Amino acid sequence: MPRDTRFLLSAAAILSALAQPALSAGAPPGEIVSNAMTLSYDTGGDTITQEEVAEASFTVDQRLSFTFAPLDEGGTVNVEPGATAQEIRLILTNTGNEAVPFDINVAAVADQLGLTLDPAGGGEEGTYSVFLLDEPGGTPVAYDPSGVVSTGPIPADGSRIVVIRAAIPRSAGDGALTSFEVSAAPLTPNGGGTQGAVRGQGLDAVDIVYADEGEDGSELSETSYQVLAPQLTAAKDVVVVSENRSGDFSCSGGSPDPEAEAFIPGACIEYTITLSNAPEASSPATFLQFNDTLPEGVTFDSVAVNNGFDELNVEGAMISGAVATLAPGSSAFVRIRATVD
Amino acid sequence: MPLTHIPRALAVAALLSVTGGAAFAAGTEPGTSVSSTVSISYSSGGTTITQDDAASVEFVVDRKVDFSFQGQDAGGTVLADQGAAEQVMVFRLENEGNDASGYDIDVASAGDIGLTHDPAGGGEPGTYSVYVGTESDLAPEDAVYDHDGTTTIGDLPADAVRFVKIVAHVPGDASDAATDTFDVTATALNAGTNTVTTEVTGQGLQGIDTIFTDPGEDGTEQATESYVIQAPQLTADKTAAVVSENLSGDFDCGGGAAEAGAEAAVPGACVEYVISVSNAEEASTDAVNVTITDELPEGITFAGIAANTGFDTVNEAGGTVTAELAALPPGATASVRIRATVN
Repeated sequence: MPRDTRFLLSAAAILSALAQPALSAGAPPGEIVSNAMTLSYDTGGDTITQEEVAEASFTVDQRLSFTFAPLDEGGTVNVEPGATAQEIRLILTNTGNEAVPFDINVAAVADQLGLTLDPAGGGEEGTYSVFLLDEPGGTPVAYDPSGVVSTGPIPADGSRIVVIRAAIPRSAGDGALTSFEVSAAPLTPNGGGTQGAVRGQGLDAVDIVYADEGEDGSELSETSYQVLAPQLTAAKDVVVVSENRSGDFSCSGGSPDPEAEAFIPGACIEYTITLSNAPEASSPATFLQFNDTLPEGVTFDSVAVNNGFDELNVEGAMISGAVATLAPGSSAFVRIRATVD
Repeated sequence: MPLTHIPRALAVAALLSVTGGAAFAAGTEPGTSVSSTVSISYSSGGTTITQDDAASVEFVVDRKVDFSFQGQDAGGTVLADQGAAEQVMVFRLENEGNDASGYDIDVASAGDIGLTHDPAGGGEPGTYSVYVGTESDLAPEDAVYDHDGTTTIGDLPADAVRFVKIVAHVPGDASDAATDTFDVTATALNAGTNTVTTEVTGQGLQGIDTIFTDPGEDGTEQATESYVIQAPQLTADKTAAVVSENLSGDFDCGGGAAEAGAEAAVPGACVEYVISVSNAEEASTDAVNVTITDELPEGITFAGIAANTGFDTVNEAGGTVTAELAALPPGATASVRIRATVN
């Protein structure tokens, strides 16, 4: 090569997006990236240029990447017994470079609430259903998490909100917990099966590479319903205030005879009804009410003591009491006197 | 917080359970289980949570042994005539407890009539027997009862009534105002047995205590009545006097006035018998159907009735004078003067 020949070598990368515009998640798979080199040099007082003197190209592969996480803080939703439409929300985001359908599976574990799946979303007590939303506030579409069911393609950078909606049983106890393991897995483009990794396709074909956390094509999220409820106990006992053998005892106002024990006709007896909310209860009991109908064989006489009830009513043999709020650790009781028939 | 928003959809379920038997006026049958359940409800999650069987309590009605035993005769006295049969003294026994009970009847009598017990009800004068029946009047179907020992009269259901009747046959020689006092005792027995009922306590809510609530709370009641004899207290007196010695032979013995100084009951003399019957002022009752019969002795011949004070009729036949009186009240006296001549 002549010494005066000045070689001016410049390299220019030529990019061409043949299929889709580039996304934040990256170039779409299948996009061919070719690189041609231009060579120029000076000779004879001129510059000689050779366009595309050499070229290399490759095809962008598919990056299967997604995240799946609860939207609720701590992954736990506190609920009350009997509450309907209690939602656990998770967000599935396709962080790959291609639209991908997913399969969502939901498994209830540690199911102290005994929730059962209602694929149709009927909302009956003790059931849960799964819905998909395109965006917050979007229209929920019922989704059956049983088996392999496609969510439909989620575009690159797109998201779906997965909602588990439950109707909490009225019988749920304070602290009862039902946890869900919710998993998402990518499906093949037609949604017929799980999309596996594909490698070894060379520069000209499309590999499919897992890039999710764990690089296993599956993301698992755990979330829970936890019940916050009062821990109510009711107690009822009965003692003999006076056997009233003489027949002249004032049942409504007489002092108890400590030796009285026999439930004989004419005896004055006293029922004590106590409602308590346990100190360890998670919440107060609100609008608490009791109803007690004196049985046949006894006749109501009077209310001897009311400790804590806001209202007491007597209608015939029926006694009812109400208290607006019974805080954890609090009790209310009433003593009712009656005579044995 | 106002309670006006208390949900109305509160389950009101008091579970009632009464088993064992119906209630009597005397009270619920022992052993009857009386249970009740409290339901509670509260608001949660926009709905009302109801616990129908939140708490319950149960007890068993105990046995109340209660009865009354009272004499039914006014003043506690049965007035009886001498020799009267079937003089009935009535006691009313009512089971005021809440269970069937048997009863033992004991009788203790004392007094100057001296009635003695005849367990068989033979009806001999001077005896008494005890009968039990469902009516206060003595009835043929009443069963004779031997009060000796401890023997049940049979079970009385709760609220049932029996009448205990002492039937006396008064001896004819019973004196006016003579009295026999009867202390009659009823003692509760366990139903169907001759075992005296005792109190049982400490059986708890599910066991059956047995409690006495009769007066005295001892399971025994006593009532006392007396038989008092109602009789006249009759006395009779008879005297004889010479009305006229009739020495002349022309004295009208049947109607002549008594001659002063006459004293010799010589043949032909006129004598006068004065017979009087009196009922003492303190006697309890009239003497009724009083009859005196006086047979003139041999040696004299009836001459006439000189006077009759108080008798309804006086007749003579064959030397026998009979005077009759329907009623002689206490304090009254009837007399008759009979004249006869000495043979």
